[in-house]
Amino acid sequence: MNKNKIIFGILLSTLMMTSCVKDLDVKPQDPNTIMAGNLGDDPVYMKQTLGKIYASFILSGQGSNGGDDITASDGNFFTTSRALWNVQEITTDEAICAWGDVGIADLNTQTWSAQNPFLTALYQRLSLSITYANDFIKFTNGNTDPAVVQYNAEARFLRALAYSYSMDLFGNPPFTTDADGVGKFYPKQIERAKLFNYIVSELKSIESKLGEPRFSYPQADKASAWMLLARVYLNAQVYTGTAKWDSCKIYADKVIGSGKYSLATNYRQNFSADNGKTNPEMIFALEQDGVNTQGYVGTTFIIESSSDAVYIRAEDFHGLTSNTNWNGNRARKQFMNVLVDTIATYGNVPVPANDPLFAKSKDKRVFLKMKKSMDIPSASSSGDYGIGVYKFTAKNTDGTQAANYNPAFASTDFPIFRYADAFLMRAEASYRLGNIANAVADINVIRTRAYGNATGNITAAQLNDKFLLDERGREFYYEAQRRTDLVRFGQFTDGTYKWQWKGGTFNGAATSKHLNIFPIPGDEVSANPNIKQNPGY
Amino acid sequence: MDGNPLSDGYFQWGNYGANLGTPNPVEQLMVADNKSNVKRVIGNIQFNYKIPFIPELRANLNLATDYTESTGHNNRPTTSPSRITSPLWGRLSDYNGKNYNDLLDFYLNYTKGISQIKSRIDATAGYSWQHFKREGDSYTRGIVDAAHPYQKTDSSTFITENYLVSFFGRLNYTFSDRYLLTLTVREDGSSRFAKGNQWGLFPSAAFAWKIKEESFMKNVKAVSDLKLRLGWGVTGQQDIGNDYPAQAKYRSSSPGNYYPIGGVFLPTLRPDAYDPDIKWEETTTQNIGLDFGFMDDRISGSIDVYNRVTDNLLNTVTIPSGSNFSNTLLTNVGSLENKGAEFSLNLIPISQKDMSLNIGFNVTYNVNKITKLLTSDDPDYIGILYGDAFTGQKQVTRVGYPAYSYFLNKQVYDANGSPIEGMYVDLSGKGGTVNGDNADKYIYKNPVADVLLGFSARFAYKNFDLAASTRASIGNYVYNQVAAGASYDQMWANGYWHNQATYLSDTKFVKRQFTSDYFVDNASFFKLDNLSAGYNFDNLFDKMSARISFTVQNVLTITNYKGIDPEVAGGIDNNFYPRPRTFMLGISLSY
Repeated sequence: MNKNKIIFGILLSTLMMTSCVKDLDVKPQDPNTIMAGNLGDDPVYMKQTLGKIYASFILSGQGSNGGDDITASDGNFFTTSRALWNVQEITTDEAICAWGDVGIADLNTQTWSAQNPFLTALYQRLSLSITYANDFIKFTNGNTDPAVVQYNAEARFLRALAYSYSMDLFGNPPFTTDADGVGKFYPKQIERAKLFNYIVSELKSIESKLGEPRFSYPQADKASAWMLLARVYLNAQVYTGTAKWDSCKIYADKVIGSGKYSLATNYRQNFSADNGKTNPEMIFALEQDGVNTQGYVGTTFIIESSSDAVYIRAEDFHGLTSNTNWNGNRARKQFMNVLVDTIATYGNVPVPANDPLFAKSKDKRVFLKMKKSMDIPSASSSGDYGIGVYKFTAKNTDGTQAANYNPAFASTDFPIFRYADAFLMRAEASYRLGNIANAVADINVIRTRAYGNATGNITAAQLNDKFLLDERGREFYYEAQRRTDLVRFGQFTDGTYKWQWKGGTFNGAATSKHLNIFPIPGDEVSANPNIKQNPGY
Repeated sequence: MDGNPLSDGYFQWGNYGANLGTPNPVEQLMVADNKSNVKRVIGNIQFNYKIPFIPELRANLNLATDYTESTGHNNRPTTSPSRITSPLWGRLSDYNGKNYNDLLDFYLNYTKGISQIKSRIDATAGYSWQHFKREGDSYTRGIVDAAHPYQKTDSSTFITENYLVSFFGRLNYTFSDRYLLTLTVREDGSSRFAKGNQWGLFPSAAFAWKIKEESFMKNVKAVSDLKLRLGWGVTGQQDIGNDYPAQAKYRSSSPGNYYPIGGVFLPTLRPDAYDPDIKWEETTTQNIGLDFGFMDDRISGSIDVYNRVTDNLLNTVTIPSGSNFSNTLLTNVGSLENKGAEFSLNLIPISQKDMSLNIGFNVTYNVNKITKLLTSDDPDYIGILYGDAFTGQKQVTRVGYPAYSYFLNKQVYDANGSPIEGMYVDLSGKGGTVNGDNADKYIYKNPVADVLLGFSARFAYKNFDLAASTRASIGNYVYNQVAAGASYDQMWANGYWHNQATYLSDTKFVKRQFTSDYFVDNASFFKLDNLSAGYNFDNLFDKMSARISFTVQNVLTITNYKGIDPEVAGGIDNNFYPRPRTFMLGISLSY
């Protein structure tokens, strides 16, 4: 009897031990979690993982379900959309930020170091978008479903886009493809010129696989790839030492020749809540929606950081009423002269105080407002000084309330490629190739829209380097392009163009040429022994 | 004043300034509607079975469960100025949660004294199984009314669980009542790690020598106790806050974080960073100690010296870009070293029939140092930085320094010794903006005390007793963020005037200067924590006795620190409220 009891006891214990040990192989039960092995179970998962690669350029992460994509001291601050805007705009004549947050002042005055948190986050986030894309490409490679082939090509486009930013900003980023795994390893560094070749070959190879232009806004299509090719070719001399103006022109031609796009009649539509699907000019943008795609990021950030409680109230100008008027960004005086052309408009006298909105300007791209003074008394002085900018808005073009309106989040998409850029890129290429007449014709397409008639058109005699650079500023200000343009024209650091607080002095000073490329973040140099710091840092 | 009768005069203290402010206490008291309903079941059943034909052998089975279910809400009306409701007007937040902790524990114990060889054996072998599971959901939205028709909603759910399974054995061997040897070994398995890394083997050995029991000490009357202890052991750590750090998985996004594919807004699916090779963190401790007692234990105490080395430290660190699905990863990286000594002394100067006095004293000394942090050994690695975008990164964990050291700019002072706003020593020598730049910061002090002292005394005379306990902390530094948050440009913001901390008259800063080392103060202190007096009434009526006592807590603090309280967890002082001083009158009756 006792013996039986003991035997039973031992059997029971053994059974329990075995089942207990098996318990260690636990699988997550969270309904928001899908195991990597189950990714093929539902076709919608593929759309959702693709959606993530797009979203990684604009949003901070998964919201309350999964938090931010990267560890940073603030989710919204350190998104790609915000950090990219900051490093492309407040380092230039177009913008200066009043905030005292660590790293802002360094960008304002071109005195950044490898520790700058915006540069660090941007570098890490661009790499992360590439890693997400690699994972998706690996998962969909070999799948012959036409829809999946197209998704795969979109992911490759997004990877090329992220690499193009890394190439432009950091020169020599780490290089991984879908052939690399995920875990703990040290990615190799790639040289800028080699990365240029890779981006070009990728874009050419996916060109035929992408959807037709505007097949499903805001997804990347053939025209998105042409625009990206045109843009990297436009800057080829900076990246590789060899200009590729003819190639730039070929791809700008393809966009214009597609016949699928036209300039928006009203320039402002590109920066309004209805700037997406119904805008004939938008080629590629990052979706923002007051209900579905929320965050203090992208255009919401541009609008709110440029609004203040006195001069440009977001409630009045933009229809945003919650958490408004961050009073940070505004333009510097030198850029006002580029945009308004004050000498032509007002003669050689100060702009009169009774025209704070520059109403006399004939160029309809002027969305500026004078603040307390045009001069900014110190590099980090209050946002009440300088020239306020209200180009982006959360209202519709006609001033009505946006669809999916939200008082805190704009539904205005963050533009990456506009049709207008195809004309100005082609004009620059034609100008460099010596075909001045074609350049003037393309520029006048843009000028005619800007002035509403031909009075702003230029002649071949008026066209020069400075005019091209200025015209790009007038057309694309606050669209995160300025630094790239200034670098290409040799004016970002050591050129003749000086703006207030460039280099940390009131009248502006030339800075060292090595600043044309940002430093590799100190975090990365420490974490990856394969990565060498850029020259000069 | 905003015309709202509920808030007039009270809510001018809005919770602005991001993470800086202390929440408005009136708002929290009057308008927050935060209720939760918690049901909890705790069960424990134990079977103890003596094996009939082996009397020394005993079996023990222990089953326990602890289940908690909670439902609740945390609501704010539309009039609430609280930052937590932003960008909502008002807030309705419902939440549910369930918590399961289950335990099964089985062991066999064998005890036998063998008098022939003056030995005693006490051996145990067994295993335990533990299951921890949490699940819950929350649903938050703004209050929709005519004035605020557009409101954000947010919902989330979670389920997470982990298992711990252990096989363990322990052998106590006592020889001659003087030599004690304890050997243990554990094989612990955690579901948090991937197959192949789930199990960790953790041995330990301890030896004690009761010197007082030796023949040469038996007759030394002055010494009442003397014992030498030696120990060595390895322990494992797997409590890392993440139940699935080794598994490749994708996470869906919550509403408001969608992206359109095929013209339809869909939640996105994100691959989460994971380390398939993550494993147990191991800490090896060596210690030597001496227990002593003199004069019938009227003087007693102990001395301990230890060295603790942690390897395969589980930490979230920056990883090479492009190698995983985030910029940081929870992984085994780094080593940490703790060295210290502890000394305690208990004195009984008076021990008489009617009167007694007990005095206790202890001192501990500990230094910690990070010895490794990265997979690669870069001597220039800045370390893991802590802080936020609004107030800057002010602390760092770096190789060669104590964890959470302050990492700040070196303040420049004028001829009168006042800090010059925004001016710091250019430590990197590179020029440019010094303010806030990590390249120009340096490590200055840390929040952990080098030495802790404790002192307590209890005096009794007949039915009357008096007790006091005091503590001192030496070498703990605090960053005074209350002082750092005060500046002239903060006085008028968001449409009304703000009170500023009085530190502002010392700094006279126009803008806040969060990265200045000016705000780090030596917060060493002496505290009289507790003072109590009591009187016992015996045989009050028939069989009843009573005690009446009077206690004061938080009696006295002596410190040079200028903030409200020198004891600040984590070292960043955001505290506006003094610690309460509590007076308690107690009466207890017993039959």
